[in-house]
Amino acid sequence: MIKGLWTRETVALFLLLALLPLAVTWITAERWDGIVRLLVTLVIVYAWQLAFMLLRAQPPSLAGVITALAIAMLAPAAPGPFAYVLGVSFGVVIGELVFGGWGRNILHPATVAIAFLGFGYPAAPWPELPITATWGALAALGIGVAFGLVSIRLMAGAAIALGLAALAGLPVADPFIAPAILVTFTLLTCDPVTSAATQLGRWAQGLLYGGLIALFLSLWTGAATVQLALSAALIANLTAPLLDELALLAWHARRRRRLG
Amino acid sequence: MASRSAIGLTVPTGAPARAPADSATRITSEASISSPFRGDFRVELLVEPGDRVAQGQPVLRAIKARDFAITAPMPARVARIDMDPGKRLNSVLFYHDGEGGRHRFDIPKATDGAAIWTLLANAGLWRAFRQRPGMVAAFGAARPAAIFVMAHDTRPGAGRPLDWVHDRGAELAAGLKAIGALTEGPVFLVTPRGAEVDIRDASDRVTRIEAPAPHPWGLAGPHILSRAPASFERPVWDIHVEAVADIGALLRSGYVPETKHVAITGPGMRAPLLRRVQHGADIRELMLGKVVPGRHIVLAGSAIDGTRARWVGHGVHQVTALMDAGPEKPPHWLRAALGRSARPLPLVPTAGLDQALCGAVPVMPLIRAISAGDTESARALGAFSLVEEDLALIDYLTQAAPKVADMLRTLIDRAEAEEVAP
Repeated sequence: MIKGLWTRETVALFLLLALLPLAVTWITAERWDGIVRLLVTLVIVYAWQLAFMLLRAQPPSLAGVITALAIAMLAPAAPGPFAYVLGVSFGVVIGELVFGGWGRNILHPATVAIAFLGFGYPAAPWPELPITATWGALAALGIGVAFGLVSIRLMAGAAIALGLAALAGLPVADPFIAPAILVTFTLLTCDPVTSAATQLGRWAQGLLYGGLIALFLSLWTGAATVQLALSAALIANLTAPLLDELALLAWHARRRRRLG
Repeated sequence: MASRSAIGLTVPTGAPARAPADSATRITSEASISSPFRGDFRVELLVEPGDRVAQGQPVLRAIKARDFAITAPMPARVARIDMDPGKRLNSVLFYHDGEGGRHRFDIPKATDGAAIWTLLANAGLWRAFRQRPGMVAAFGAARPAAIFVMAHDTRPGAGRPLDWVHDRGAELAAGLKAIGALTEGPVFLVTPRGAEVDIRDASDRVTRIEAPAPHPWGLAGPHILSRAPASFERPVWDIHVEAVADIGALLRSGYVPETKHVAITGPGMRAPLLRRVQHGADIRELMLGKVVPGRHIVLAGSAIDGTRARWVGHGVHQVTALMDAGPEKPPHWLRAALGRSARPLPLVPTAGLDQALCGAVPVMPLIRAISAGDTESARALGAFSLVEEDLALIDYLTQAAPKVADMLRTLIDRAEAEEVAP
């Protein structure tokens, strides 16, 4: 008869609050450029949310702000406004809204949008993230864990993989590489809806993200750091259901062994 | 195990958390016994309205299995018997009448499971066992694959069941021994961690589980799910520890104990109470003069898993009074329409959800299987070991609509209709 707190919209609200330090560090570095990009992206995202509300009766979500922030921060500079609108629309509509809105989607809409822009316009330059964004991302992760929105297992898995990569001599902690890795992880991989939903799956997804970063850093020459990180986030995102399924298989096997 | 043990949740209810330790006996002047089943329960009457009955005297019995009786909760006059056509029982109302006395049952010489079960059936104590899948009363010739005795309750505001039986050691031991004869499988006793309980007499049959304090470790569901999952072929029973002591008392003296403990809590109470009442006691009379002025919602159960009730039914050891804020202002029509447009509402995984079943099962895959109506996946994840009260915490946390607990009920009912063909 009494009601708890964690509906879809409260999760979105607290997630947005958690991401504020990251947004602030980024906006202080980018100034008006960043603000304009963010506002334009917000308008596109919410135009589609409005359209789906009117046509499909899908309630709009505060999570659209998070999507817009991620796209504004990480998307490559598209050749012209039409390409940008197309890319963002593709991500928001195909990545999220056709599945029924935030909470039912399988991929992060921002990941889809950025991948579309990045691989659709290969000549477009990828953004450079400010070094301060590293600290913003760490603060965001801390707040997310405190609210119970970011899985500590996902973080630990990524930290282990990246730590091993650093020990192997890869430039993971380089001040021009670390921001891209961390910001992409925070904004895209840690999304509670589309990341793995089982405890073992989260460990695996964190390890996979870190492992892919290490692989790309050592083998993929000539790629921008955000491009590397985005590719890792996209693959980690795509494999989340598979990792969950494997985690369930492991759970069933353990249970069969214990209960006979 | 150690890393899992701290998992659980504390639910804020806006009321003093625990009922006091001391209790007063209170026999209300009216009591009502209702059908132990949600569906058909065809009965044969043994008394007529107006008859005087002794406490513990059988007043009606099941037509399907005539050993199974329902007994009078107190010395009383039968006031009204509410039946649907076809002799289907709804409820029986009693008025207290001190002249009635107590009914004594003959204690069988044999101590095998069949003899004990027949005695419990005659004495009405069969209703204390709750059978999973589906939480129906244990009925007929079915035998469980395991029995869980719950001496731990972590629902917000719940009392401490172990305190209620601490001076009934001999009866509890006799009861544990008796229910050990009802099953070939294990008997588990779930107690709070570190609590003192003497089970030496029954130690060869009873395995003790020490569970931590956060909710939902005091519910039977997560324990059953991780230790002896229930299925239609292998049902599992759970029973409250006080009812086990009652069984012991019946076997030692021939009398069914008159009272049970009920914790009366919630923000609607001026102070939480602990009362010893008869089965089917009148909640309004128990609360008279003890509530905060205003309109109330009275629930049997806790604030998160309770259902509106007027009488203290079987298996109910907690009553919650909430303040009724009155009818809510209807939301804006567009908001209301959008909220109804696509059900079930999406649930987003949070740390709270991960802990909502003690880590006994991956929660999100279970919720997805239940809300998709995927019986096979839900069964593999142990959904048949769970009942509404186990998922109430998830519904509380996420304001799920429709409730996951209701969707589980639909799933189990459908599976039962498909698998347990009559």
